[in-house]
Amino acid sequence: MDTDQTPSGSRSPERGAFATDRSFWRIQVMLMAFVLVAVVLGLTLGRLRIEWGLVLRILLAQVLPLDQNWPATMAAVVLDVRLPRVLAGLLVGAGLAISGTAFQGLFRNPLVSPHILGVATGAGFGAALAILLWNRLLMIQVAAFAGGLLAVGLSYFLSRVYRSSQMLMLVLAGIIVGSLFSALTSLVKYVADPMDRMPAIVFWLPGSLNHVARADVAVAAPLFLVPMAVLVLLRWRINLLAMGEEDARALGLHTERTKFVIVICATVLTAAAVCIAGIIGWIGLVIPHLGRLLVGPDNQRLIPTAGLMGAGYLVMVDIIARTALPTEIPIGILTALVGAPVFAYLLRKNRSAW
Amino acid sequence: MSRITVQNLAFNYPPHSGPMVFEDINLAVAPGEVLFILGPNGTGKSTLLKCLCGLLTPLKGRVLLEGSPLARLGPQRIARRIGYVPQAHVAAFPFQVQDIVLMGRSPHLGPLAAPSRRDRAVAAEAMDRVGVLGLAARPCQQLSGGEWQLVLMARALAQEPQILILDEPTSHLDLGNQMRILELVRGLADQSYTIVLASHFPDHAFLTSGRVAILKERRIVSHGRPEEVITPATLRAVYGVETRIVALGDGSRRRACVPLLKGEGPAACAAGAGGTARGEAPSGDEVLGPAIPVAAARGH
Repeated sequence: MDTDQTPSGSRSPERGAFATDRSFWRIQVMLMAFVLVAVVLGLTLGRLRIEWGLVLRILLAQVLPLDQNWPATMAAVVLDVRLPRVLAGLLVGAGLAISGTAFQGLFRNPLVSPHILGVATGAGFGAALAILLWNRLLMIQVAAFAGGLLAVGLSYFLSRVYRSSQMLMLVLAGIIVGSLFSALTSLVKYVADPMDRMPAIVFWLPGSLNHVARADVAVAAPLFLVPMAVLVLLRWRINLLAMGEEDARALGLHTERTKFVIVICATVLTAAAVCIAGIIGWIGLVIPHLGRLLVGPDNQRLIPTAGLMGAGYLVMVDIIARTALPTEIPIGILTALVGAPVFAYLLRKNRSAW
Repeated sequence: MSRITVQNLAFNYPPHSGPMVFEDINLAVAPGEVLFILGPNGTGKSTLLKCLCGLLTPLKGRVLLEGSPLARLGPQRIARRIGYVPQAHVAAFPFQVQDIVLMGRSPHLGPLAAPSRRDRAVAAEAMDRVGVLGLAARPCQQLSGGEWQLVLMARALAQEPQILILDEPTSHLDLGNQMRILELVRGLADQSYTIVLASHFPDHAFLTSGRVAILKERRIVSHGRPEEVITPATLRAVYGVETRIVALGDGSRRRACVPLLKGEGPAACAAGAGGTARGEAPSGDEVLGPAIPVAAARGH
């Protein structure tokens, strides 16, 4: 049996991909520290600089009887503006990264993003339509969520119509449904009032954590936490599906059932992310790749790793989005500006082993 | 009682309009028995094997697993008893060999459970048995075709099944690994595993010494012990080539199937078969003695 290794393989994967248990846990601790630093920076930095000690006291005053000797505006900035934003950033970042990882495993394709089945375009259409009809935040969020679910539901249904359980049919159906909804979104933009509603649609679409309020986070949290928990529990099974459906079935997996649960969870996560933050691209595509560089392709390790990386990354990017320029940069534009070159680099570096 | 029984099986790929892939297939394999399925390319050997382990649903007939219909068992219960080794494999992600073998523990785990230390031990034992323990940390995208087959064999053993369904388990292997796999198959049969394997090597049927079924033009055209089935006449009918079946003549009962090229066929056969009619094995077997080096020299 030959034991020689291909020259490219001997280099890149061994360091990260085949991490021992100990180095895996070390990586997890470092990522948790990264997330914590992101949270601290997210709460302290901004137009109004509030030092960390004060932030901590403001937070503690919520649960402990402390003397409230700080201006009410500061408390309001921390509790009503920054805290919801940071929490939303954590949830959206982790949610997109985990659903991207799950979809890549499910479709056995490392180039898949959580938007593959048309969630983003469906949600975008829902939001655009809601802006056109009502222009109220709650309605926009509900419509975005519903639009995302509707698009994926249509994709799933369409792939069934072809009477094929092949993953490829699902992807093709996603492309069909996606372009249908993006055409509908263009139509809505076309008929929208160019002075008022159309700019609202244009600004909503690229994604931002700008209008996240405390109530949003409270309502949306279960939409993130429940599917994330399910995917974390199913994470080893995703490995089986990543070997191909026939293998997974031969290994005793109820493939149809498992696939359905994974698609539902990943879709709800993505739709929830779109509904509170608009369309934020690249996280669900790039973070799983970075995670694979750190801990390898085993979803048992990759899913939690990607979740932590996505959470910390989005909070960090959001800090840049709201502090780098006098006006806020839409976060979706920033993640694309960072994500595209990073991904191009990863493709070059990692082309032999994903 | 036979462990796996096939009754009147017929299969057709959707949309079910063309001719059947195969029909009227009846087979029964007992514990400790090896069933060797031969047949030309494209006769549906792989399709038959997939029906046997529930990956494809037959159009007619049924497969019984110790008397209970396969169709009524869920994939998990089937996978606890049947290990399936597919023919070829491409992985999208560079899973390590040990991760892949560990996946064989899946049918024994609850829906949300992850493999335990014991599962890892079973996987390591399976890798050791097949001889791929040294590859444990190798990313699967760096495996050769033969190594892949050994790894998938280890994965099937990690399922701790009673039945192994092997789709051309020796086709990408070098001579050493071919013999290792055949020895393994024999050893497993001695431990009362039931093994069904598809192959393109008639000769290997003599090595595994179970029963042979030949699938051709939708039906099993010949079925029985290797000495009865693997004859020049049958092989000519099935593959359209001349062969000679020879006994090694060194005291062992071992036979070998030697295919002949067109030019060397009839003359050599006529000379070798002597007075007996060709194809009437086993009585028509030749004993290979000192003729071996001569034949080898002539071959080159």
